[in-house]
Amino acid sequence: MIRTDIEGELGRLHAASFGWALWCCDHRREEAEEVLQTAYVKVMEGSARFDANSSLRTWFFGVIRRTAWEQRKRRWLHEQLLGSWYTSRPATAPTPDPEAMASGSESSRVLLQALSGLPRRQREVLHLVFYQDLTVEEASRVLKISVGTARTHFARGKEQLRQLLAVSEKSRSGENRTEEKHEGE
Amino acid sequence: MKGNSDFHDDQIQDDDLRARFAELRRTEEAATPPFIFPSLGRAERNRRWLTARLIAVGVCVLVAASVFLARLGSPRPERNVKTVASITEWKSPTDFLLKTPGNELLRTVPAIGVWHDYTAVDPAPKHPQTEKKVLP
Repeated sequence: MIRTDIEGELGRLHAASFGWALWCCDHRREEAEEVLQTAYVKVMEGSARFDANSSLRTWFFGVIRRTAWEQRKRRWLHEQLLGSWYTSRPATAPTPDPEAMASGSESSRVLLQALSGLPRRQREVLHLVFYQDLTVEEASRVLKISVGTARTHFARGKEQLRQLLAVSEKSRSGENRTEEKHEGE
Repeated sequence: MKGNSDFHDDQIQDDDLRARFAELRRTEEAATPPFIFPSLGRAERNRRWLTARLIAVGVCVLVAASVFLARLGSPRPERNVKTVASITEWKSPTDFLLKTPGNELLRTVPAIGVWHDYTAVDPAPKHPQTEKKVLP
């Protein structure tokens, strides 16, 4: 594939790629932008080369995932080396960015909240299948795991997500009822 | 029949999840930053910068290695430090104070009949005694 072709394809994939980068960076927007740009630079420089063994989307999502992992590792190392500095700083817990959560609708917020309670691998598989409309096989290729493992993560993740959503729905309906009661009084 | 209904329920729940994710995707796509593909110039600059850093590290390693080898090869200059005798040979400068008079008597086992620093004087010749006279 020549450069202009790749550039065009990546341009078409940009929104989906940014969505995936956001998820790989636990919804930290700035970090996601940096990861995506680094992934583009890798493609540009040729350190990440598309070998046409899979679709461009699957391959590029793999590049983004690896770049995000490298960034996480670098951040962890910094925290270890400069431990005393970071203890005074606010901890960067892998929770969704509150700004991103606040900007979405109520349903999106509930979904993000529920997803933050799942293990990373399950979250990633669910995102790739439901958000990116990939098949479980394609998701397994992005995550570099076997199809069987991806299926297990998918099934368990779905089950757990439904339970979490049901709990949050219940608590929300309870809150609504008490509000209505207060309004009636 | 039951399995069929389970599959149907699962499908409905999947559709619900899919709809939720689709809504989230719409929200997030609206806030996507513009697509800026890095130019060749930037990639080239990055590569040059990386090469320069590699060269700098290489030079530092070479300098450090050559200094180390040079120090290893050349004989070490004699240090201007007094050589310290071994502990068995060393003697205290105030050792003489411990030598008290008659110290040697304490260090040696006396033998009977031998007097240190004493020379016996020959006994004086007996004076001729006058024989006793028996009185009648």
